[in-house]
Amino acid sequence: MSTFESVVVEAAWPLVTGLSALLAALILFVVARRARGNLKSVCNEETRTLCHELIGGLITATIEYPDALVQLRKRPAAQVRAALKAILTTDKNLPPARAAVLKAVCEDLGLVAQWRRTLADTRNSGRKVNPFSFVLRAEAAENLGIIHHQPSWPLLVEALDDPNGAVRFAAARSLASIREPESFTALADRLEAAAQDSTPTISVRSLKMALASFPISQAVALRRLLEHSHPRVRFLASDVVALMVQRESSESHSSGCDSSRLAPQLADIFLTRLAEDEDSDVRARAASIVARLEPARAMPVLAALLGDPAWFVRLHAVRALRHQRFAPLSLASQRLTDPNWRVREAAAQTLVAGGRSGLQKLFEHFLETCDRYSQEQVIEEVERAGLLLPILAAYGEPGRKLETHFVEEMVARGFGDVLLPVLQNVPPEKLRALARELTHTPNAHVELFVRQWGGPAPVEQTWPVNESQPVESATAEVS
Amino acid sequence: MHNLIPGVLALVHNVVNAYFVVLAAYFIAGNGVYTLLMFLSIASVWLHKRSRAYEGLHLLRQSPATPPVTVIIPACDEEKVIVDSVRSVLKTDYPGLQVCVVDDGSSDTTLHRLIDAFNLAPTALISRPRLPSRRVRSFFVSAEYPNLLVISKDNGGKPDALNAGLNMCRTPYFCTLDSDCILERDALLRLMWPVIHSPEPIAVSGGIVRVLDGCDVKDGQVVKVDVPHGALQRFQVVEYLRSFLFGRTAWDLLGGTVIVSGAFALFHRETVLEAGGFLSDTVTEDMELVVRLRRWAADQGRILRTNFTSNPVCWAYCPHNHRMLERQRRRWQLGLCQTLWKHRRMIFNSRFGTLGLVSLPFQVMVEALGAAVELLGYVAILLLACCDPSRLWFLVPVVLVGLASAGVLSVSAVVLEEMTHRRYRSTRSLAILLFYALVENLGYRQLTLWYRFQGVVRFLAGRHHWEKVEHLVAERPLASRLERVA
Repeated sequence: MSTFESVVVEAAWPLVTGLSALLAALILFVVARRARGNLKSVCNEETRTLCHELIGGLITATIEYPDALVQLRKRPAAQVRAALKAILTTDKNLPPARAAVLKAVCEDLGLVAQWRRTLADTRNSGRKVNPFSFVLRAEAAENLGIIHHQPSWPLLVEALDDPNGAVRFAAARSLASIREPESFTALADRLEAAAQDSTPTISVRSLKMALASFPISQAVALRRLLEHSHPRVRFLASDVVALMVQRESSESHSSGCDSSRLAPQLADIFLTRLAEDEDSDVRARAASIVARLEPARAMPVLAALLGDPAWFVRLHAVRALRHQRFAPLSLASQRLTDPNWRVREAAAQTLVAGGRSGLQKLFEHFLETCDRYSQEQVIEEVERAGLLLPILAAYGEPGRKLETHFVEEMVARGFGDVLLPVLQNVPPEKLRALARELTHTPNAHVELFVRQWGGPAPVEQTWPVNESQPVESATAEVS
Repeated sequence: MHNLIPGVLALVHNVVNAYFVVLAAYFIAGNGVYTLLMFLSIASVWLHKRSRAYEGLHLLRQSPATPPVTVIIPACDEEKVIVDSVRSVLKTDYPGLQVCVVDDGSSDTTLHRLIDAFNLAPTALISRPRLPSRRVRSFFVSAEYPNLLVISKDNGGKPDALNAGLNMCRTPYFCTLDSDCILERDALLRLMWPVIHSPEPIAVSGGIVRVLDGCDVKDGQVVKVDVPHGALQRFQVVEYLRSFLFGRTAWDLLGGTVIVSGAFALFHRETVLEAGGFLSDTVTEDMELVVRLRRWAADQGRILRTNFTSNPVCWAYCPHNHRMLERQRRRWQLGLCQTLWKHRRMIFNSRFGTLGLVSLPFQVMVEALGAAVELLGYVAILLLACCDPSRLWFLVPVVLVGLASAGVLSVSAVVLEEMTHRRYRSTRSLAILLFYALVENLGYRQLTLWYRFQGVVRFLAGRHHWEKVEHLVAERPLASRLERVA
């Protein structure tokens, strides 16, 4: 027996015994835990369901508050907490009225005081904090936000400096739920710090998310940041204002001008300073806000932004035109010949979103331009918007000369294959009219189209459109 | 001659003894690291579980600041699963969701089924490739699902299909999803959560992949979770739990993530484009991309993080027979070796932090070479037992230690699952999982070792072949739109 072998054997047997014992212990532990869990859940199910029903009844106002509170106090505290926790975890988006009832229940049962104590735990200097207690602090911060506990906002602002990131994030979210005006400044200060720090303590995205939840009237507190010397601070502040405007617009289902919602001094900053900012990111963000301001002042600024040297400023500006009801559509159609395809795409989308007059501009542009890239973009957008069939259905009708001409020119310029899949759904008389018209303007593209269309049962071909030909663009550019 | 035989025997004896020293070192290093990972992942997974109480997904769902995401699903000959998979993605709870299915030149009815199920119509979109990919044949859109785009292209492999999808992606983030996967409703929100939460930019966020076999799927959603019927699939359930709950969680905690399953992962689009997209020079494009991104970020002097979370769940079919399992494991091992070889400059390189100093060396020593070392160990033990039965007193405890320690790790994975996510609700399922965790090392492990060893051999032989894994899924009747029209 070699020394190596004897050492191995001496070490191996105790190891085998230890590992076997560990294995047995693990199995016993998990089986016992499952059995205990099952037993416990059966025992507690009834109480928890009752508590859940009571709290649910309170929230929906189907049970009298004092009676329910007395009943809840009679139940084991752990079960009441468990039921509340289940409600807080699943129903995070309670309407204000119901959140108010939940808030009252939590206050009366002493939970709010407990959460506040937990959240303030890190402030007790000299005492060692349990490294895993952040879970409880984050939970406390989250719960205070769910019940919209207004008086807790200073505590939540302090929690933005908590040693743990999860607590800071939860505190930011809760401040966004509570929407206390004074806390907005605190969040803005954190955004300013985070923008200038390469390794911020709280993520810029979470701060943006929190700030964007506040009403647009609060945006005036961002003035200092909008005039900041650091371009990234100005950019993020502009972004927050843009998100606030976007959210409010979507909530009120309006896409038009929102100049009344933005403070005049902020509007001035966007129109006079940020739209001409040295940083192109800031100018791009400013475009989306400028488009929602008073047309008389906004239009010249927006027109300048549409001609910006940076392509993404033009992209944002042309997209922003959708929010300006009074913007001349020619501004968007001019961008259809932009050197950057993303701007061309956005311009076409803006025109399609502009309704009938926007489409007319799009067709007119197609008929006038010789730019192949631009023509392709128009065709793509018309097709993507599902407009080919309505256009073909209106072919030859009085008052639809533009559409008729557009269809004919599509074929004449070699885009006829795009029409093939929808031809089967077009009334036969329209198709005959189209065929007649095409015979007057023969060229290679028209001949190809007629061959494809008039071949053996071409109308039945529904897919794929181009099995033999690649759908490749003339625009093989790399952005 | 008579003097030669004892000499040769003595030499073999010495070689085997020396090999046992190597094996002992490998065993101690491998199991030591795994045990450490186990403890780290217990803390991490427990914290993830607790974070459910304060995760605030509702704010992500409502906020205009939540970045839109495109889910890219590459599919090649996946007629049996594609519709359910796409349906589950379309049902995903996420604001600004786009779905892009890339039919990679399927020879079956994958495209027909998509056209039929989602009422697709061909459209001629403009293709402006930033990444190279094979010829695009056609695009399809749906009036019913305006956020769905289907690309039909020539066959070029999974990385090529992903690049084609990426070329049409317009959102700042994209999620890659295998065509046989079912996403849970909030999976994308959970995957995005760390991206929003992290103060550092996260370029890759990975979630957990669980075994779909045995579960009930209704209308694109998993409605009942159960263990599969086949023994091979049950072993894989345990394996997946160990791999995702242990390995990846703990490596993420240490900042040494090498593998983020491309079956379900979120990527920052611009970062991936700048780094060159998905490459076809390895057979595991997901792992290669993750390592390349880290290398690229270090070369560019950029801060970039990868993240793994055990909350977002994607359910995927696993190989149902030995042939498919063999293909899968061989490919994984080959891809691992190829990736490690390609990025060998990063190994033991302090510029890459934990990844270069700990994680990649571990992948080389334990995951890549481990298959060969362990398999040769079994051979050596058998050889020694046959040649010299008197040595059994030494071999038996050695083998038992190996089996018991591996058993502890497998059972711990099941325990961890039970203590945290507890997806397998019935006591029967738990008992089955515990049993399979116990016996996993008596045959199944050796089998997968053999498959992995083949992967190493293929790597050494310079073979580069993507082996397709087919899944056992109940055939659904095909009723294409064309047939209906007819």
